[in-house]
Amino acid sequence: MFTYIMRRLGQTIVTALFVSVIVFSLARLTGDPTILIVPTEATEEDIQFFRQQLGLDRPLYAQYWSFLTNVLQGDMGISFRYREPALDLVLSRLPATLELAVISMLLATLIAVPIGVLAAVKRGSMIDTGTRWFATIGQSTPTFWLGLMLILVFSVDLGLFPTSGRGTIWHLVLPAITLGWYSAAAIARLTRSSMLEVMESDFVKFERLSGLPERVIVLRHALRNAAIPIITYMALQFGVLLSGAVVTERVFAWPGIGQTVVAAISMRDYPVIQAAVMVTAILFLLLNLLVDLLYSWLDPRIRY
Amino acid sequence: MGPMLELRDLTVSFRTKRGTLPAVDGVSFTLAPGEIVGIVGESGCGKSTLCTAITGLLPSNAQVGGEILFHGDDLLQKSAREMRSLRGRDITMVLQNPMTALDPVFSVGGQLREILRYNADMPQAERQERALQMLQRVHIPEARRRLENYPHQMSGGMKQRVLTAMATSLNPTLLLADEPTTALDVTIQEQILRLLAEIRDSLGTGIILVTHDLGVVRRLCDRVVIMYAGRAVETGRTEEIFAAPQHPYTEALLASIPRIGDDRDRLTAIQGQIPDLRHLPPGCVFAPRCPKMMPRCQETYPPLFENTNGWARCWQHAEEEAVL
Amino acid sequence: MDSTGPQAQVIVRRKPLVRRVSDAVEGLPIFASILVALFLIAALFAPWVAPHDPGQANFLFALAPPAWEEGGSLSYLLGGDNLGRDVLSRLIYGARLSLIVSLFAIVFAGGVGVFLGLIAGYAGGAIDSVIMRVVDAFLAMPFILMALGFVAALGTSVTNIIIVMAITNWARYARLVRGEVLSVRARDFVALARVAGQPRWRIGVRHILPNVANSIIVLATLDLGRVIILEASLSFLGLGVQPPNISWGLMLADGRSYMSVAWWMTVMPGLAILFTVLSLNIFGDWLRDRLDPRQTQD
Repeated sequence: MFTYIMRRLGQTIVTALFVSVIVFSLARLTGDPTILIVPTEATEEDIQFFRQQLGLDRPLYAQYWSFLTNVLQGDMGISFRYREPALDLVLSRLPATLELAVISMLLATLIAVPIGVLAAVKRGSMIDTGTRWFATIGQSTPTFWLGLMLILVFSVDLGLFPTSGRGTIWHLVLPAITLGWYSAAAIARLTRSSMLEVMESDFVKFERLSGLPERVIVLRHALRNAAIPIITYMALQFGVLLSGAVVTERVFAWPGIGQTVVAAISMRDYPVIQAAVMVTAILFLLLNLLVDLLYSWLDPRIRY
Repeated sequence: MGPMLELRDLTVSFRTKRGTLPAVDGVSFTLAPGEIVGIVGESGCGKSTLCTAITGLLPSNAQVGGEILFHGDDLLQKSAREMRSLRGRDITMVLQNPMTALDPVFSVGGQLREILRYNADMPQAERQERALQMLQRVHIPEARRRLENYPHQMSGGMKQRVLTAMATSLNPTLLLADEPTTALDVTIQEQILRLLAEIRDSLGTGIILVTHDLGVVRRLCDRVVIMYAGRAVETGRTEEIFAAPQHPYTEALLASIPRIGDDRDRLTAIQGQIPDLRHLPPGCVFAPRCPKMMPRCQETYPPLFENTNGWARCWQHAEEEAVL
Repeated sequence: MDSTGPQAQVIVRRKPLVRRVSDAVEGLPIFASILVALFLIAALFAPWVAPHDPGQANFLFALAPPAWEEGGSLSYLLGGDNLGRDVLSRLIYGARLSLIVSLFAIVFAGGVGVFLGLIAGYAGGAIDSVIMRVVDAFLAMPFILMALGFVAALGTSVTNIIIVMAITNWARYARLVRGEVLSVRARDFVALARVAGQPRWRIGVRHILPNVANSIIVLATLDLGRVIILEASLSFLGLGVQPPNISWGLMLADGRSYMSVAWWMTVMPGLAILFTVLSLNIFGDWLRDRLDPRQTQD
């Protein structure tokens, strides 16, 4: 068990290093970023000077090394646009995005898991068919369009919710539904198939033979066994959620990381872009690591 | 007082997309308390379906006919709720594959206690004690420690014992054992069989032992029912059937057991294959493979012919008295 | 004495072609297939199918409602946008862009991903670990953020968008293929081939690849929809393909400002995306059901 944790930790660290390499290369893909940083009237000498100042005349691996050491100390450069440390900027916007993501995930799970369980238990019924359709359609809906449609119907036509911004619970409703929609569909589908598989197991049959009530079998035994792949999947979904958050934030003018990055792109504000990608990737890796460790609590086969 | 369990003309068919499948057709036999009856046949002969019918867990596309009398009550007439209260308490079953029959995320003790909780009125402390006793009764060493173990920490043989403990925790009247030794090593098989015999002796439980292994039958069963293609073709006391089988299928089964000291260098198999249950020939189902087939066998379905041991469903006994 | 019963020898004949085709398309989702076909027709034959020039502005039809509404016209079946361009024609050309981008993106992503996955699965050891950690790295970054990052670096030409789509997607193929290779390698028939002395590359091509191919096809089909949505998201944000290219995402971005007066500008492209991706997903699911069960029969 201990070796398992160590191994996973090692993998996470190596993966994070590779992420840093990719992030580092973003700014250097089209060659020399100096051109983008210096003012337009700069002469050739000025450019050379800047290049030296920023250390861009050194070999690539040396540049990467200072990049890495800086990152580990929390320095991801200064935003071109805002003249602030990029990392601080990103981290200050993170809570808003996390708020949206977590609420959406909670909402999605609270709806999707019961539906999935019901669909599996009442196989072939209307609930089952309805769930499968919901799952397929839900995973085919473009998030940003859903957001627009919800705004159109509920904000513009019906005036029930504010169209944008963050502040009250009312502000959360439409963005959470928009963002959670896809995940709800995906989780419902997985819950259903995971439950179906578990319900076919020998131990479920034996529990029935032993006279246990169906309710206990489904909710206590089947669900517990089915939960393991579902929870893993939810951790993966978090990455999808962060992605979806970018467009959702744009549609609802939600002040999170997504908005910041979109603004940064047009300005080629690499420090901010790099910081955003780095932070979200590390977050994702940590979450998955956590879930893997949670595994051992859930599944005794790994614990002992 | 009648027998503890009596099957009368039990018929089970399944409605499928490709027609009706008669899995069990007109099977009758009895079981007395403390008796061990073996049900023998090849795969697909309907023996497992038989057990499922007795426990009341047939799927919704099953059509059932006949009667299953348990202490005189027809189980087929009982509601789902009534059947559930019988299961686990009066009627229990042990499954074939011990590796997968236990829930992997709950401790063994926990699963034992759960059965006690839902089938009997027992305070928690007593359930704990009882669970421990159950493990000890099936001779699991270090039982107290084993209560907290998870299934994957136990060997196959030990798990089979645990299953048996679960099935006998409330002293059931009827125990169904579906191929309890098939998935185990030969040395462990013997231990499980001995355990079953013990249960019969100490609790007076009637046991139905489903198997395709004639060695097991000989070892443990008082009587045996031979099944083929969903029908019962012969029944009687084990010793007499082994000594003098009355049905050609039984003969063929016995002949196919290899014996040490045999000077044949090929194993005898039974010619042909099990028929497609959806397209059964008229007359005797075994006729196409039967070395003693007569024209009559292909035309008319043979009735049961009683003999001193039990009965056999074969036309060669036509001179003797027919029962049905 | 041999059995002369009904168990006579069965002669295996190859099923006639008609029968084999009808078996192959058993259970084909009709509605979804029609939609996929429509999508393909629109994409491939846009210049001939579109009723109008999609870039042609015509102020007579500015913000014209769809034909069935009051003030609509049969000429502009699904209405006109703010510049009076025909929405239907733009949808058709948008299909073309979606198909081009997603198809090429998947071919590139698949090509790189399958190749690396095969190497990882076959070579094992350190090479496998390294490749898998790189895969993990790409999968850890939220794909839109990653796409945005690469767009910032590479720019928004159609070609570069395709490259960006490929970069953000190759990892899934690599992981899938590696997993399949590992499980196929462990199977008995591979061991038999090794024992029989077949060279490793031969085993790879003849035995492993066909098994892996099915999963790749299923993934690619399902991925088409995903990439279409991804591309639309980028262009919606203004960071994908640029005008005068026509993309459903761009149409949605345009229509956003006019939502309260011209709902069709946003509803139509959205429905186009929804139905296209939906039918691709349904088709992909059907394909998976058809291809996979055969795989598990050993």
